[in-house]
Amino acid sequence: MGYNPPLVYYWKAFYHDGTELAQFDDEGNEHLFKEIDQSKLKGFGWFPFTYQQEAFLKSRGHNVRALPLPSYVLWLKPGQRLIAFRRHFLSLSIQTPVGVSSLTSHKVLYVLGWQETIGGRNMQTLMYIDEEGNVELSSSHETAKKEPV
Amino acid sequence: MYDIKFYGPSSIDWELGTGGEVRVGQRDSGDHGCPHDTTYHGEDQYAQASGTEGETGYPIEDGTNGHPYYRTQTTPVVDVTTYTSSNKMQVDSNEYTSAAKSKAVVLQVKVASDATPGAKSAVTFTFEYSEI
Repeated sequence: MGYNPPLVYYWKAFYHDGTELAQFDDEGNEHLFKEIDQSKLKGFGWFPFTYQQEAFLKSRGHNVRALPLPSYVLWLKPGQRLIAFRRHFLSLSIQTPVGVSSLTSHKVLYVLGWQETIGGRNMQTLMYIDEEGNVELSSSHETAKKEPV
Repeated sequence: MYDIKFYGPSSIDWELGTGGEVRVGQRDSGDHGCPHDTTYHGEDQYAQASGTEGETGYPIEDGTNGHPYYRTQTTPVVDVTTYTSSNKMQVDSNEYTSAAKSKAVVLQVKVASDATPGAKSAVTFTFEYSEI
């Protein structure tokens, strides 16, 4: 896909039976998050692309970028439900008198965490990972929404 | 793609005069964004404010000539500086799984007669959305 900005992390799902499902397969095809079988999910992670992966996936039309970033993997315990998504932040500059607007930034946070019900309360713990691999941890009874620095 | 939100700075120094402001269309419930619906405007268009160019214009909330999607609401507009990074406006809660047009943010600048004329500094607004 023509990701913009380029993806710097891809996801990989780990199943209890030892198998895995990665966002991109060996042929460069992209899998969708909804293809993950949540019922047998053991873990999930965001992984940086290698330079070889970058070259290969670019040749298949995917806008990805290899950076020396850490990986983040979550191993789920019984009762925990995976939460993973990318949160985009597009900033537009608007100016009078003619309403000139331009895109000034487009940042992405890679979010990884889990939800579980404890004592009847919906608890969520989320990691917000920026495109440089920095992470902030948030835990609350409702979904927190961080924004990139 | 889902959960589209919008916000900007907590103040805008555009010297728009007494009662002047940058405002945003509001619905009394649900998403505040305006759908791409030809009930309210033509395809790929928006409901442009009417009036006399250079002199007067109708506000979004005008009962007759205001914006057709907002003018009947109890609170048709608020100052856009209401929405900041700690209080984001819900634009569109739908999930889009293929190319589509989301609901739109409808902004209007209210300029009072004692506003200070001239070009103004740029203001940054931010859209957020999630995808997986």
